[in-house]
Amino acid sequence: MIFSSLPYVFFLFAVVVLYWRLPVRFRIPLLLLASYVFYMSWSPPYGLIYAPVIFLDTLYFYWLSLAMVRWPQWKKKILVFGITSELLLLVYFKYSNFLMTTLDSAFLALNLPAPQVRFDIFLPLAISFTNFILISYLVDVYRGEEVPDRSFTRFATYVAFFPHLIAGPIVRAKELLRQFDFAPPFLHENLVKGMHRFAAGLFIKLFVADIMGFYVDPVYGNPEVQAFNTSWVASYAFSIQLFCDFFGYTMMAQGSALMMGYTLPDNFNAPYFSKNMSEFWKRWHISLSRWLKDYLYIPLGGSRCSKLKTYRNLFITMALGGLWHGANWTFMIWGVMQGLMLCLYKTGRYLNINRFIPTAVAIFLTFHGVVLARVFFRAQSLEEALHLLSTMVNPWVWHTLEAPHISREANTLFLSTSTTLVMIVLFMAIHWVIHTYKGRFQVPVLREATVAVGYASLFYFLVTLGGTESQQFIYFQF
Amino acid sequence: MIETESQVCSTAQRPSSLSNPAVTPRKPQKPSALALYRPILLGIALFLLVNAGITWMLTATPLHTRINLRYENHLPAKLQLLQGVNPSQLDVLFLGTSQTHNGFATPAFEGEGGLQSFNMGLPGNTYDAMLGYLQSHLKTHGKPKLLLLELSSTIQIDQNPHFFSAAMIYRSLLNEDPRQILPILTDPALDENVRRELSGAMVSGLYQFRHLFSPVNILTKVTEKAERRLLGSPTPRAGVLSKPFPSAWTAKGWSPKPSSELMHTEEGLETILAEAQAFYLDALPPVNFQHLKALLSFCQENEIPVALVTWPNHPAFVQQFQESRHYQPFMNGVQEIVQQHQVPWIDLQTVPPPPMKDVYSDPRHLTPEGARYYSRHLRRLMLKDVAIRRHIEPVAAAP
Repeated sequence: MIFSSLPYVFFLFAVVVLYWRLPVRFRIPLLLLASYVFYMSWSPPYGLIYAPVIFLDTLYFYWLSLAMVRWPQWKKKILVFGITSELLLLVYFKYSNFLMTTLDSAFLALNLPAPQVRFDIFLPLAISFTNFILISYLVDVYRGEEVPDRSFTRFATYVAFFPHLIAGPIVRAKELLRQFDFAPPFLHENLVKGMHRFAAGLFIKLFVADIMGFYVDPVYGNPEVQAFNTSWVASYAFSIQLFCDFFGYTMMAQGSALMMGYTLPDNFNAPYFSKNMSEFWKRWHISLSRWLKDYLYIPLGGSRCSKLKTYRNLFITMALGGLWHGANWTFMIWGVMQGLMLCLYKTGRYLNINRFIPTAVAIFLTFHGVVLARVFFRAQSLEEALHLLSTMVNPWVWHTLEAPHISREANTLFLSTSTTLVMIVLFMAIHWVIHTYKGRFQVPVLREATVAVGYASLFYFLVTLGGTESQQFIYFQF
Repeated sequence: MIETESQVCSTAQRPSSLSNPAVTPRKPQKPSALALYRPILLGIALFLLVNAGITWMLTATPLHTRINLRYENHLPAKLQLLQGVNPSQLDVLFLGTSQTHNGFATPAFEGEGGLQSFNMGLPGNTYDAMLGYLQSHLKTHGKPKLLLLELSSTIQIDQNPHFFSAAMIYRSLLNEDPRQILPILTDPALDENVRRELSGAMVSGLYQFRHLFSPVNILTKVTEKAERRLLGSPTPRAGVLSKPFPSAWTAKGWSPKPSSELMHTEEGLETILAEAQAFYLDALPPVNFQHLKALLSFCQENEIPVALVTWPNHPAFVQQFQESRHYQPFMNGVQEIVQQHQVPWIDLQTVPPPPMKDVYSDPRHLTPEGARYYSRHLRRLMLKDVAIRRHIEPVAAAP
């Protein structure tokens, strides 16, 4: 059940109606049940198989958090044991085959016969996100920032709450679990705001992200025939696709939660208008950046140490952050590039030269750094990424994107390079206007008219573009 | 709580304001539930308004080919065109499918003489729908001097949802009873895409013409124009966005169909033949011969002179058909009908192929040049046939 599908809309409607009709004591159990139904509806029968994994994992951490209170003298050991076992679970499901492939390469490099062992493992959906939520909870309990919740139902609902279950935001216990302590009152404002947010997210997902995908997919699917202009346009388009895909998902998640009276934290704040990489990571996938900062970067020493150690910490944090996205060297390199760019920015700050860069230039450079690194994020292999990058630095090879690698099937919507470029410019301009003038015009009539036109446009786009067959959200694969 | 107390306190210190309701400080009013939902309702209303406008535009402009390009709208357009040619004085009325629609070049057929003809070819048409139309035509305009009926293998495929639905729509329009469409839409045998299109056509013109009004399509057109102006030639497009609009129809119903690029390459021809095979050579249900017989019987009862005409197909398609299991039953059926009803049959497939190369726009439809060539031959063959000639001789024989 993908958020941007009709079955999810019906599911959400049913859950919201039931939620508000049921007596207060049944609401959290209902959310727990709904969340597991939602989880199991994904690619059956795997959903059925892996729902118990998530459930047992939750039960295990529930028990560990209580054990920390029961035996405070052992709480450090419990923490280490908990985190290690959780990471081992993640490594088993997500990185076993990657490690075996790497091992094979190492053996071959040493002229030794490669073991060539592979595991037949299906990566359980959402395991990376639940993993982070559980670890952060245990660490917070250890640090005394969180009191272990006695109610397993409430705790399990916090972990599996369906709006954030699949792709975040990575919510901390104080952000969501504490909201479950009190039953929120029914407010029409929340319901309407939730609907607005959900509709806006749906619009962004279907009519910006998915449409950009029509250009990005054929280009990245055929890197060998690309040239300077097509590679650049596709890379810009992918950056917008990724942002709109994930931002749209987050808005739909927030909207879904708000309809039941709960708020989820923001995950984005116009990241493409950041002036440097440090700012970018404060505005992009905020919940992940914060998690990496609080549970990895700071425990490593953060920036309160020597410059060299700060660089090392940044580097390790971002490389592991990259690897978290997927078991592939492309993600690792993407992470390393993020680390490098952050180190570059830090060096500029230490040398006090960043202030000489005009704001517009800084935004331009940051955005292009992000776009270039994303080539590794999107490409299927290192070779493909390097090939695309080589075309991006060769402005003498220039061609129009046409026939051989584009599907000629009757229903394939195909965008030309120029149309895609115009859409990118339009998107960035609209995004800038909304970001800059947001909240400045508080004329109720205008706001109402904007919302009305927004809904009319959503229906219009749904009808004219036939947005019933939405593409999968990109971040679901992580 | 503290806030409330301080408010009470401050109000108590100002008794004059209590006694004068005009100056009582107003509490900010909570918006009503209706006010909150109003923008959503307005959005739905606005969408419906735009949609209604587009639907009206589609139904009110049947002859605007850039809008009404789909087969479902051809009948209203043809009926409107018919009004312009004095339908009660028609010499030749040609009923058929898209092959006739594209292939019967009325100007070439009529030549220099005073022959009056009309192309009532409707893509996706079937014999029962033709019978429905003929009944309606007789009531309104009287008998034509000669009725030409298309006879081809592909017209038999009445069970193909594509044809089935179109035929039902025509009949519904003719009988002015749209309620007939509903049972079709709920028929489980109906192809899902056709169902969606038909539902869309009924509920909203916008849905059916979504590609035309799609913002992406509009943007593509704009950039295409800009590219043409700046660079001299636009980037080639593939897929639905490049789907050409049909050229304008002639006043007498002929719709010239431009040649497809795919017909000029071996690979393209193979693709298009494979599609044609899947689409046209599925099944030949005998019920259609019954419909044809019923149509011919109706003509005999009403003393309407009839001739059957078969349009030529691309040689590769003909070969495909001749090798299929449907060929022999079809030929047997045709022979039986021709003998039983004593009706003349002109097979244009037997006409020597034209000297030009670009004859077929796809395996089954003629290009404008091909249509002109075969329409001239049709007139010549008709005048050769004594049984046909006597019905149209006075005008057709004129120079």
